[in-house]
Formats: sequence, structure tokens, C-alpha cells
Amino acid sequence: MNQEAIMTHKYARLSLAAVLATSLMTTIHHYYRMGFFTLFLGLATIGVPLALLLWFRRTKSPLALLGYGLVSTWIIVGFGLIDGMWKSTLKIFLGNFLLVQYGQYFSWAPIGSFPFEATGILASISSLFAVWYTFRFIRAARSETRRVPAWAVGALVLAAISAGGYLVAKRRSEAAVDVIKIGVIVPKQGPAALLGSSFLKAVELAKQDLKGTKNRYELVIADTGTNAVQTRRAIQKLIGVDKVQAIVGGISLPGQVIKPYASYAEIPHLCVCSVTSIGDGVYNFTNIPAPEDEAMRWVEEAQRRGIKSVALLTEDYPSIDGHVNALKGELTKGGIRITSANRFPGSATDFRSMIADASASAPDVYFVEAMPRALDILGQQLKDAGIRNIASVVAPSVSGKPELFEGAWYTDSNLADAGFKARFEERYPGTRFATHMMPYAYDSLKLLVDGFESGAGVAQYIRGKAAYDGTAGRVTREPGSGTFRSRPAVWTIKNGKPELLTQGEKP
Amino acid sequence: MTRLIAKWTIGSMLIAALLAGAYRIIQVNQAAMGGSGNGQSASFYGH
Repeated sequence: MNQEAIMTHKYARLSLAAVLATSLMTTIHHYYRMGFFTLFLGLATIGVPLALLLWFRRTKSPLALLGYGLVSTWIIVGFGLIDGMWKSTLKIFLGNFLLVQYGQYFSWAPIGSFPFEATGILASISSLFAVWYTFRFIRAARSETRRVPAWAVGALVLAAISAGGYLVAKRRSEAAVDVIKIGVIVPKQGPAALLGSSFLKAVELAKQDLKGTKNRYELVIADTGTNAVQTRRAIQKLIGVDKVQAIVGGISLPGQVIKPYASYAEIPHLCVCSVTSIGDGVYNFTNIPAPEDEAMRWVEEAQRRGIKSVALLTEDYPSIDGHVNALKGELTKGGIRITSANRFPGSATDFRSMIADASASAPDVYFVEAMPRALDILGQQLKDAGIRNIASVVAPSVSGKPELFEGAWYTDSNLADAGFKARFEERYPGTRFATHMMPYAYDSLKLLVDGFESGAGVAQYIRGKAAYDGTAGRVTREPGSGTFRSRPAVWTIKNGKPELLTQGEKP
Repeated sequence: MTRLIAKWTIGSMLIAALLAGAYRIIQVNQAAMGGSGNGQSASFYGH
């Protein structure tokens, strides 16, 4: 055996070993998804390269070498690199760990069990060896064989063109849809579940109120869950599997997770949430009074009531921090003194020392804002301490026990269309109308539908929308801004229920 | 021969480290999704 033949033989063995290792791993990997039928995949991916290589060894046929090269490429690229590397290794280590904030750029396949993902990782490693050794083998073997016949090359090119054409046609037929799907993603569990349930009903009401539209619309409902991992999974399914063409969402923290996915998919995302950095004015827009709008309205009302000092008791939470920061600025401008400021985590349960601290500073009013769970515990402890002079932004509206805040005043969504609440309660008698967010949820769906109906492109339509009159009154947006702004109203809790005190005047 | 053993040892250790890392990430993900893993998950609401 000459030197070239020895090298060919060596690389043939190494290439076959690496290709078969990839085939074995990918067969086990697919067993977790396909079950029994994986047997056929295993027989094909192990048997065919083995048979082709034996054929080549016996005859030195160029067709056998070409066949082995093609089958190995299929196994390496299809199973090793795409399935193993992209859908397991990079998805786990980059998309769900090191570069989780850029998760939209990696595979959206859900993370499977450890054996499933481990065999994917092993297939990707063995495929890298297979790439190298198969390349070396084919390069060495070409000197031992004749050229591949022209008809074989022609047939291969024809097959590749046909397969490509088929895939393009299939994708086009899938893209042609007769119904426009709009994703609605809000919390259906956890402390914000009340808001989520009310939000969904408001969007459903908006859909039922659609009359004479050119297109058909379908709502696809998703749950944000209670953490970023669950929200990411939900938005990946909404965009990747359900193929929604626009999104209405609520609550700032999930909104921050959804934002890059909407941008990546180039679909509009209207977030009924107050963290204005979510709105980029391109695909993402917030649609609820901005913290500055709430703060201005709050200070106006405080001045009207002759309030000179305030104690702050607030949860450490992005939208609440946004309200508090804006409020601090407006309080300074309005000459209202902050006597004490206490910020607590959402897990806090004992507020008595904070209440004592605030009480010792003798404020005219206690400004209280927290998410429902902590809010209700705080409300109970304020009541136990005999404190009734409470004010807030939004919070009593989302409380599970609004009676704890009897007599408190707060700024919240402006219900310019009084009939909206009446229609909601008539249509959904079992669902509590959570004033905060509801008008904006309703209007956001209408806005998206108007965009689709315009025929000019829904994102384009929203980018060009500078103002609209909805159930929450006049809503405006500066050109290029991602924030729809509106003026809130002043509410109070009377007989355990929110009651409108002063409507937000039109700016 | 020694070189071969060293190569295989380092290679095996790298693969083992990769699989151990994947195991931990999967465990944390399962916990966050409400599954059977026992990793930590950071809730939006601080508890």
C-alpha cells in the first residue's frame, strides 16, 4: 500500500467513526421526539454511510465517494450543526444563559430534558470531528478515483434546484393567511392575575365591538407567567408557532422581555405599561399615562387639597419606581415636602416599623404604591395603625381588597367613555373591572385593527399616529416617540369600590 | 502514547464540563417554568 492509500484508509476510518458517532447521538436525540420511528432514522444514518464507504473501498467508484460525501454532509449539517449545535448547544449556552438578553437571535425551540439536550450537544461535538476528517478523507481519496461523471453532477444540481423551489413554495403557501392573528400576552397567575384577567376581557370586548372590517381577526392569548423565563417561552411560542402579526401586552416587566422579540420579528407591540423605555417608536409603543403625567396630575390634586407634606411607602418595582421618581420631581416643583421615604421588596410582609417611621414624620398624606400582594398586607397594617389619609397612583385600583383603602384618593386611567365600564360589567358580570389599563387595552386592540384595515402596514400606521380619541379620552404621541401619552383622572375608593372624582381634562 | 492519553483526558474533561453546565442550565430553566428542577428563578414580583 502506498503512502496516499494509507492516508486515505486512515481518514476513511476516522471520518466514518465521527459520522457514525453523530448518527448514533442524533438517533438517541430524536428518540425523545419521534419515539419508535427513530429506528428508521438510525438505520439510514448509520447504514447508508457504512455501505457507501464499503462500496468505495471495494471498487474505488467515484459515485460511491460522491454518495458518501453527500450523506455525510447531510448528517453533519442537518443533524450535527443545525439540530445539535444550533438547536441544543448554542440555544442552551448562549440563547438561555450567556446571551439571554439576545435570546431572540438563537433557536426558539423549548429546552428539553437533559438526555435530549445532552445527545444534541454530543452530536454537535462529533459533527465537528466529522467535518474535519471527512474533508481530509475526500481530499485524499480523490487522487485514487476517477472524476465524477457529468450526468451525476447534472442530476444533483437538478435535485438541489427542485428541493429549493419546493421549500420556497411551501413557505409562501404557509405565509398566505386569511385571518390576522393578534397576540394578547398578560399575567394569568401571580399578583397581577386580576389585572391580566380584566385586561383580556377588555381586549375581547374590543374585538366583539369590531364592525364591518375587511379582514378577519383572531386573538391568541398567552400567559406571561411570573418570571422572565416563562415570558420568553410564551412570546417565542406566540411569534414562532402561533405566527401572530401584532401584540398587545400589559405590565412593564414582561414588556421588557417582549420588546426585543417584537423588534426581531418586525411586528408592532403595544404595551399597556408605564416604563416608557419599552417604547422605541419603531415596533414597540407604550400606551398608558406616563409616570410624568401621573405625577403632574397627583400634585395638582394634592395642591387643590392643601397638602404640604407627604410620606412615601413604595415597593421596589420598575413601574412604581418610575412613578415615585417622577413624583419626587413634581413635588419639588409644587413645594410639597417629603417627610419620609421607605422602599420595600415585593416579598415584604411586616411594614410596622416603616409605618411608625412615616407616622413619626407627621405627613399630611401617606403615598402608598405596591403590587397587589404586598399592597394588601400594607393596607391592612395601615388600617390597624389607624391611618386613613392615604393617596396613591393607580394602586388601590389593582388591590384585591380595595375596602382597605376606603376614602383614599389616587390618579388612574381616565374613563372618558363612561359607557365602556357599564358595557364591560354587563358583558362580563363575574369579572372585576380593574380601571387601570382597561381603557388602554381596549383602545390598543382598536388601534392595531385600524392599522391592519388601513392597508398601509400596521407598524407604519402606528408610527404615523400622532393622536386618537379613545375610551380613555384624548391620547397623543410626539413624532418619533414610542410613548402614547394621556392625562389621568382622580379616583377615590367609596364603599369598597373605585369612584371617579375628577375627570382628566383634555390637554 | 502519552500525548494521546493527555488529548483524550482533556477532551473528555471538556465534554464532561460542557454537559455538567448544560445540566445546571436545564435544571434552572425547569425550575423557572414550574417543573421538577430545583434551581432558582427570579420572579418579576420579588417572591
